[in-house]
Amino acid sequence: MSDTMTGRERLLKALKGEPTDRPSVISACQYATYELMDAVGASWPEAHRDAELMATLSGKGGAEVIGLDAIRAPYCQTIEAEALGAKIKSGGKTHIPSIAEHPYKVDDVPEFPDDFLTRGRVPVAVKAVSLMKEKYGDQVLVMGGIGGPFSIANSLIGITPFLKAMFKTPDKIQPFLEMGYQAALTFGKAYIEAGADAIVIEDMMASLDMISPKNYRQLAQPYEKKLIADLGVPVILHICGKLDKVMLDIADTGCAGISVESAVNIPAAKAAYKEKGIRLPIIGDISPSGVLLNGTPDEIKDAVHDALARGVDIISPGCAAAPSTPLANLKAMVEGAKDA
Amino acid sequence: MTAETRETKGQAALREQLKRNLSDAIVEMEVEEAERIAKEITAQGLFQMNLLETSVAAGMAVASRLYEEGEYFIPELLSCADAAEAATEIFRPYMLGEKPAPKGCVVIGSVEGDTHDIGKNIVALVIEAGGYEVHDLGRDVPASVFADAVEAHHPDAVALASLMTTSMGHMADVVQELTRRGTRSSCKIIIGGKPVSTSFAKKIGADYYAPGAGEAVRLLDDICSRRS
Repeated sequence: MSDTMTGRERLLKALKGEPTDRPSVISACQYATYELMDAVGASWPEAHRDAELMATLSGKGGAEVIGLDAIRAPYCQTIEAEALGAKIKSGGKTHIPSIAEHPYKVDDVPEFPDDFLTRGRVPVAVKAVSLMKEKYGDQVLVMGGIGGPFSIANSLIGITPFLKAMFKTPDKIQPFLEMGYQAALTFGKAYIEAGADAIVIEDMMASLDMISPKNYRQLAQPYEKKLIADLGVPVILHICGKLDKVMLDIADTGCAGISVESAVNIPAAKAAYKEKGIRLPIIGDISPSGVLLNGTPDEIKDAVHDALARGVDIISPGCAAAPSTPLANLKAMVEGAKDA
Repeated sequence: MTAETRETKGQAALREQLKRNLSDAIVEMEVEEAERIAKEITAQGLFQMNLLETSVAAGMAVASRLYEEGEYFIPELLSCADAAEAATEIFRPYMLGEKPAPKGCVVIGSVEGDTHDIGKNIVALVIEAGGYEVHDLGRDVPASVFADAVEAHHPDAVALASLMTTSMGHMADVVQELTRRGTRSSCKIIIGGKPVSTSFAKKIGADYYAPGAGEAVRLLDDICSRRS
């Protein structure tokens, strides 16, 4: 069956829960792979710091080569931390950049810089979104990726000191959460001004693999909710791990879609949403470290059909695609949705 | 029965009690209490090397199980580890000269591209308390550094951690580097971390996948008992 909607129309309808010509396929988190880099002629590490290359890898790679309904930038979650003073280690050709040195200690009082938008790779990602909007904006949804306030706050002092302080002296982490919120909002607003149709918040540290439901409700969810309200465009919220105990709290953030891994019991979440009259599409949950990396295209098509049968509304890898994922496997997600 | 053996029995009973109290304090995240009990054990002359395994490691094993069951989360686990470390610090001067031969030797680290080390640190702590000589290479460790450590320490096992789908591929680099240098068959390779699995271990040519710290120690016990 050939498509009768553009990716953009399809995804916007899917996010609203309206009928579509076929299931929508996106990658809520990063989808640059070595084979995709070769296919479009734009590679890491250059694409992390060059807007044209970032727009080519994400835009041409996502919209033309893989055939996703949405394209997004950037690839890593270190841009906010770098702009706020972190020292970054390049990932070279094969890795994403990582934080070599966190900018703050727990006892510091951080101050949000006025020139945040001119720092580090922030302007690169914003420019890449504007280039992608120009070229692909009428065909696919263009999304800007930001960290969640809780995750940015973590990256400012380091996970271990952050989680210890959260447990013992929670007052000390409030200024970092505030700063995380400001960074995320400022970055997100700049994407929107550059033409982004939607924002993806990756709040991977707010996962229940890391923190308790109580901590999620007290320290992560309120900032996600405020951020989503203040951004004012559709927001896809991605959180890793087993989220069963907070699926209703996530719905309460006001996000347009929740992106999850296969660790989440999706039928149970759908039933709970239905009971409460919540119409929040669930995005996921093709395993990026399982079938997507190791499976055959046929197995991936089966995984897509299985995800749809379990109530997944929009197909996506459950987390960032591993860079060594075969390109044929990413394309197989789209093919699986076409013959669903 | 002589007075001496009665006293020994009394001491043994007290040691048993303090051992349980220390284990509980670790599980309950009571750092000062763990330190206090450890001091009482040494002051009373009750320290024995096996306390590290039966009390400190046992407490951490319970904490890891509570984490796996969704009762504890990472901040709790970190606080348990603080309590375990506080007790171990008190015991350290008493461990000199008395240390029995370790059950085996383990090289551990987070692979290149991954700066996460919480899980790896907890696993290293539990393995060490479980009676193993541990060489912790830290985080974001290149394959060549793992291979150098294998040549330097001749470990029974190399434990590789990765928390990210974007860095787990670099576990394969370590396997290949050991193969290239001809040391692959000298040790077992255990992998752990959120995105990896038994099938991933098989795919990259590693020997085992350990879902948690407790399982890692059980695997090591198995590997080392088969060796001897």
